[in-house]
Amino acid sequence: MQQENSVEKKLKERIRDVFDDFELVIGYSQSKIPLKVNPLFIQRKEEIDDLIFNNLCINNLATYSYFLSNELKGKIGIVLKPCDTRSITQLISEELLNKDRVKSIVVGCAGILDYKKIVKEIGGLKIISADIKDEHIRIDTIDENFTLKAKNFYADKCYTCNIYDNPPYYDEFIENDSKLNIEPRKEYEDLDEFEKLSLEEINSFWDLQFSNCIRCYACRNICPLEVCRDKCIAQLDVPHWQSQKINAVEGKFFQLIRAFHLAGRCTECGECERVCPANIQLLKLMKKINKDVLKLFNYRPGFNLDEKPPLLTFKNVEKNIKEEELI
Amino acid sequence: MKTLTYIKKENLNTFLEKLNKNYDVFLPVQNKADGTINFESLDIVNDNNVINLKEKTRKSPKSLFFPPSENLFEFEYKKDIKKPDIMEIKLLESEKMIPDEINSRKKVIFGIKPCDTMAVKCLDLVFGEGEKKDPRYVMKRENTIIISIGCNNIFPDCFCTSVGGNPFYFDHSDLGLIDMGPNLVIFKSSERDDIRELLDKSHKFFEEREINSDEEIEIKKIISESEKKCSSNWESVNAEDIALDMERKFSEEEMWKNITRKCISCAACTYVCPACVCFNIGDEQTGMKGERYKCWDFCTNYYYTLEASGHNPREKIYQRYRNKINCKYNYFYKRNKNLYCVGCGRCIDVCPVGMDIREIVKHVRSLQK
Repeated sequence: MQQENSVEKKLKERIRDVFDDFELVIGYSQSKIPLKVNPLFIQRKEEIDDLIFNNLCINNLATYSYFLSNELKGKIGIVLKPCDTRSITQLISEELLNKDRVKSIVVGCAGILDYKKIVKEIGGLKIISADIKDEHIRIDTIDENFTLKAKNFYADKCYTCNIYDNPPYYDEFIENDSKLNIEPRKEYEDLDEFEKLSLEEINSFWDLQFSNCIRCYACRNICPLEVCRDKCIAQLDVPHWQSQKINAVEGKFFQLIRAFHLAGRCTECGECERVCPANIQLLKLMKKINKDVLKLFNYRPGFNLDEKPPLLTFKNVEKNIKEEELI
Repeated sequence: MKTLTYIKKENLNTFLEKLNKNYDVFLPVQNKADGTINFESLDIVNDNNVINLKEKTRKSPKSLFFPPSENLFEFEYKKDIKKPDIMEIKLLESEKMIPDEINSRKKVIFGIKPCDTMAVKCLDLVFGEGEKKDPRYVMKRENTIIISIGCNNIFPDCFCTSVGGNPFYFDHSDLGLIDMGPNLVIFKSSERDDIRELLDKSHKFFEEREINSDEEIEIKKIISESEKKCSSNWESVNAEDIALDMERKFSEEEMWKNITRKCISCAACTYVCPACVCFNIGDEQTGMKGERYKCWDFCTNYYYTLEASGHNPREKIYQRYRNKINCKYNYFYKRNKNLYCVGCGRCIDVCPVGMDIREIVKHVRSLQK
């Protein structure tokens, strides 16, 4: 449980002011499970009281934008962190979202704690209660108590973030008095080790990762950009592209289709990796592909409303691809 | 209980290893690298992982009886060029047709929680009892001894007491143990022949003596404390009442829409649920040969009810989630007086968007009608 902070107060006030414009506002609310938060769907003004915003709000609420804007007729407001706005920008640039219907209420961010990292640090023990105070996380499990330094447990994306107080896209911006205060890392730094591996080693790494896939499709359904959830070729019967079996081969097949579907579109919010019940390192794959797209097409998803993703369009001549060298 | 039969915890590992010589022992094993706990064979326990009997497993033990996917049989089409109008189908006598369990040794599942044993009962009612039985399932079940350890520790997502169980519910286990500090005490033992055999074979690990009044009080205290703690997670609910409420409020579309808004209709909750029993059967064919397989399926999936015509009776997420909840608290209860939610709380733990089955049921019940 955390106390109401100043940004939370400002956020509530702002939403109260503009609430009449919206049919529905999506935000975060307290969860009964320690160190987690819930998405909150606000339809009545009094429900704004349940709204929270703190460093546990890891969910990317842009996930709901596409499906809700199709279901509802009115305007939808979504509380977003600056990094989450990339997903909205990407959806708008791909003409999947109408920017007049979905409004981004962006809150300045001071870093988001990664639940999986914390659980890993305490050896997978189940958390009975937890408390965050003064940059320290205090955790009780059955037999042991832990005190962790918060600055070591932010989500990976926070360490390379440079938009935490200047979101690239917003309709409303609420500044946060506390700022992100962690040692920055170089973008894609974590891929360096991985890229040194041989092709065989890379292959066996992914074979092992994907052999854990139970095909629950949580990664696909949580992704803000995978709007194809109910029309997925992995589940189609006619034509029957892929077997419904749950095993290593089918897991890999599904995951690779998914990865290429998002090539140069993924906004690296990390939701897929967060929700995976089998702990597959899905974001690593997406980052690798995005890094290649950046190199080849000089394109970074989620920053430009007018530019099309390179794999959804074509140019007669690509500056960075020497065709004669490919033959 | 006049006598106290127990095994010292310091002897537990030797006991399990000895047991593993005659049985295939499965128990909760924690992977040291990422901390996840799952039911694994004792054979794989090495430096990279450790036995953990205190915590809940991530995935449920149902895959030991009801695997994620299994081949049922293989087949081959035969065609004679002289008789082009006749196609012969032949079942292949392959090894895959015979489940591994026929020749294998008996299984022991050690350290399964009481809630998971209630879920095994749920599987029994579907696959192992009544007119139509799944012979593979029956074979696996008969070959398995279930040794359960009660829960001294209750987690925030536990609610077995609300759905008819309790942290020391041993009705569906062959042997029920209570953790009493240095010892594991046998609290309940079934009369099955194979349990007697198991206990006889390992009698030197078990000690027996008269119980004293202090110990009797301690056992009672452990049980009542756990029960109290668990029931504080959610009020006790009458199964009959829930079923009725579900029935009555089935057509409250607006309410269902509102309470399931955050659901993203993935299978995480269904695939970790110990009591979900849905499966699909499909054919995979290459050339003239193929196999028929059975694999898990989930009702929150769009394709689950998609009909050949293209019509989908459960097109929207709220309709599918409503079915899931009704299946657990209403349909199965009507059919065999057994709730298909055992209160293990795995779905709450694993849900990416924080859906809490307790909140949903509470919400449905609180709606005035």
